Amino acid sequence: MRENGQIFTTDLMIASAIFISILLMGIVYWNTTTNQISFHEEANERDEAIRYAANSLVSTQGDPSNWEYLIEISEINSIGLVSQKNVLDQQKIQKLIDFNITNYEEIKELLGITKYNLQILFTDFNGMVYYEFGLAPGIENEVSVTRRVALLEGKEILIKVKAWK
Amino acid sequence: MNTKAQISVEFLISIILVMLLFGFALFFYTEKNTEFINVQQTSEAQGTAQKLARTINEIHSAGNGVETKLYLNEIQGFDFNIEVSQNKVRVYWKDNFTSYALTTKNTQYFYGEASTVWVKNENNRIVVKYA
Repeated sequence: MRENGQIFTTDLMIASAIFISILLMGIVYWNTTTNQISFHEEANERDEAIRYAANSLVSTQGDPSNWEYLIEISEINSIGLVSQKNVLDQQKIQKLIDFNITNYEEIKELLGITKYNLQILFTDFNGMVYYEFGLAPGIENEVSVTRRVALLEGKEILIKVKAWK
Repeated sequence: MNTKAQISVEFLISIILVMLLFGFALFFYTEKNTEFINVQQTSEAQGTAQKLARTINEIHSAGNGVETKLYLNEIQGFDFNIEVSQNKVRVYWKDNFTSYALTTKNTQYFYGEASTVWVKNENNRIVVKYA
C-alpha cells in the first residue's frame, strides 16, 4: 500500500509539473504575442499619421489659405504648403520653418502628430537639404518615414516627413 | 491502520495540490478573459475612431466639395459615443476613450444615432452628419 501511494504521488507530481510548464508557456506566449501586436499597431498608427500629414502638406493650401500671413497660430485650422496641388509655396514653407522655434508643438498638433516627434525635410534627389523643420531623430529611434515629390520654383524636390516616439 | 493513514495523508496532499492548480488555472483564465474583453473593446473603438479619422483626413486633402458616405460598424456588446471636436476624433465607452488626430481643426460634428455618416468638405470645413 505504501509503495502504491508513493507511485500515485509521483505520477501526480509529474503531471502537475507538465501542466504548470504548459500553463507557463501559454502565459509567456500570450504576453509575447500581445507585445508584438502592440508594437506593430503603434508602428502602423505612426505610419498612417505621417501619411496624412504629408498629404495635407502637398495637397492643400492650409486653412485659411493665407495662413502664412497670420501672426497667431491659434487662428490656423490646418497647414498646407502648396499654392496648387503639388506646387509648393516658398512663403508657406518659410513660415513653417519660422514656427519651428516658437510653435513646434502646435504645428505637430495641426498636422495630427501630437503623440510623436516630427521632422520635415525638403531636399533635392541627391539629399541636399533646402529647408528643415522639427527635430532630428536619434539612431536608436524607431522612425516612420514618408516621402512626397512636389515642385518648388519649377524644380522637383523631395519632402520627407519623419515621426518617432 | 498505519498504512491506511499514510495513504490518506498522500490523498489529502494530492487533493490540495490539485485544488491549488485548479485555483491557479481559474485565476489565469479569469484574468486573461477580462484582458481579452478589454483588448477587444479597445480595438473595436480604435477601429471606429480610425475609420472616421481616416475618412475626414482624406476628405480634407481631397479639397472643397468632396463628400463620402461612411458606414460605421456597430460595436457588439457595449455602448460607445463618438465625438469630433477640433482636430480630434474621440470614441468613448464605459470610463475609457480613444482618440485619433486629424489634419484640420475646422470640423463640425452633428450628434446622431445612425450607423451611417456623411463626411463633407464644405469650403475647407469638414462636416460630419449622420445619414
